[in-house]
Amino acid sequence: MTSAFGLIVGLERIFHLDQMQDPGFAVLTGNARRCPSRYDVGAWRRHVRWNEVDRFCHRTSPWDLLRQQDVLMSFDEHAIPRWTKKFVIPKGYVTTRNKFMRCEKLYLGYEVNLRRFATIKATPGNVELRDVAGLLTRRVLRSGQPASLHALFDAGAGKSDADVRALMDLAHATENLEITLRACRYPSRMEQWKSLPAEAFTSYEEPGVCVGARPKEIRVAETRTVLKDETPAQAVRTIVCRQVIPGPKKDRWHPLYTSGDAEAGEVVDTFRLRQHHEQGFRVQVHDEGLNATPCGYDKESPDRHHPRFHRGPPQLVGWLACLVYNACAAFLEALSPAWAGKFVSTARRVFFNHQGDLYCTPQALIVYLEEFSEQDLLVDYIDRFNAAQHRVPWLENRQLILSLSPHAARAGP
Amino acid sequence: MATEGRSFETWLLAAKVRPERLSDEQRFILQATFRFLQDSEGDYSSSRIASHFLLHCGLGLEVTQIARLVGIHPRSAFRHRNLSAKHVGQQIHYHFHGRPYGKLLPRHAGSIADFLFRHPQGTRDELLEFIARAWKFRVSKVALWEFLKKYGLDRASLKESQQASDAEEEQRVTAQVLEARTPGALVPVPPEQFFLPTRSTPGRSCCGPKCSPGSTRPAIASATTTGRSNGAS
Repeated sequence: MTSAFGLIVGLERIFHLDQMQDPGFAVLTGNARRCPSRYDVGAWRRHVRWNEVDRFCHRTSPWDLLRQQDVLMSFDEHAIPRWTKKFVIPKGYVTTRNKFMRCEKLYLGYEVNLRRFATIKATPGNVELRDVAGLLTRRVLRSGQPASLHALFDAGAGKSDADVRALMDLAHATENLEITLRACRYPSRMEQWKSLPAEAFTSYEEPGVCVGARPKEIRVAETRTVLKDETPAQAVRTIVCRQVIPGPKKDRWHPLYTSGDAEAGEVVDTFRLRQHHEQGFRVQVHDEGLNATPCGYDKESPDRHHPRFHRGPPQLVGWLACLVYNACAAFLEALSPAWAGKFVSTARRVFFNHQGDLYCTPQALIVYLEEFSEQDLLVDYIDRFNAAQHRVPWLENRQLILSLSPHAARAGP
Repeated sequence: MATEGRSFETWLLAAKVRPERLSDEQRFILQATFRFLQDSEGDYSSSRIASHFLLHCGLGLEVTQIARLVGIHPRSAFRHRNLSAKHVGQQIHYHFHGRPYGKLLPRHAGSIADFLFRHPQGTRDELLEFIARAWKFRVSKVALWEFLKKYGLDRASLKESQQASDAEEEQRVTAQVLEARTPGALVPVPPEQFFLPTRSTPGRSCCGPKCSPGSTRPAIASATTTGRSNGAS
């Protein structure tokens, strides 16, 4: 409870519990007298078992949103840097720092149309997207049972031609699976793609970066790429996207391998939706403290040069962050279409973190919020919440009542 | 819904109507009623129409049986027996155009609790005045009493919660006093509430059941004194 509600109220680090003196948070997390101790919560988080965490993640995944739907899912990694000098843990590439360093990784599946996280896997830092791409795709197909799945991958899923071939084979073997991944820009391949004739490209014009800016020019071509040790008959369909940069700078090339039959421009537009996934990572890092997940290396390992890896702690806290992200997105969408897509920190600032009074009667725990400007938006939600008659099991099963100040005068639920 | 997930036979048995005692005419009519209720998924209008029909078609069933068949209270069925079809139609109309909830909603409980907390000696009239001022509607004293009772804001509940919180506070203070010991210092005297009340009888009562000591007393153990220790002496 503390780990989940801490993310909602914006508890950035577990040791901030020491200074926490909020009676509302204490009641919310199971103790009416005082906030939980960081030692108890931290110890529990560090010792959760991986199989229990896997089961928790599976059972709380939003599979029902994917069932019999056309799913567009992006799979990508988030590297969490580790600064330990004592334990020698595997290194991986951390993109934000642009270097190899000790880290651990979270692999997440994100439904880009619904904007919800769907699945997670925590790994040591030396595991790459290509190692888990097939596993995560099969998991979504098996558990989500979508009508069709279009999986999007960044270049890390196809570092070698064998990885690309494995994904393409999976797509060919599965009837309702389509895969698009960004191709690695190896020099020999780039020469091949750059040598395409100018007439093979179709030019698109897009709005510039701001009003009044020069429009962007995008040129898209379609070709086939023969992978290593393969015949031309096995060549992979490749969409080459060239972004023309005016001036002395070089043009930007974005090649994509795809197993689908959609038009080239459509494939590029679909792949661009993957940006929502990256934005989701940013929201999690800045609003939910994703980089503060407990470490996976075992601090009680007998050999500090080869510590064991426990994926339970980082995966659990990472997945809680995903659940909070999903819950906030659902809450804001239900309030009003204008609030859809707002960040977790916005929801926290506008709706969650407000002063109020608690009244504990023998039958109910009444939460009386002080007046705030957007409280009218919450009236319907609060009426539905109160009508559901939620109870607090650890407070002698009292009914939880949310209440607004009289300013919100409106008749009926 | 009276017919939900049931077969015709179980529907009859649940209403305490024995199928073997039904005539062919009764069986046909009840089968048609069962299908009607199933198709309409037991909404209010359908159950009212079905109950009115069964009460007035001269089927020979008891009113309580009809009430159980359509899933209403027997007292309501007796009341409906005297209504005409026109009145039933009017009641269905009123049911859907009325307000199925009270004026006081759960979200008003916080303000009312706040008022009671700030005005512990306030009267009911003052509270009603506050409600009228805050939300621009008036409620009856009965409705207010039911609302306060439901959420534990009536005087009895508030007094009970006040006593409970006082007891908890005492316990907390006692625990704090006992925990606040510094090494080498005198043991503080626990408050009076820490001890059980002293016996008012001159000796043990011989009328009550004998208390079990729990385990045999070790022969070498010394007797424990029951006198109070005084840390200050």
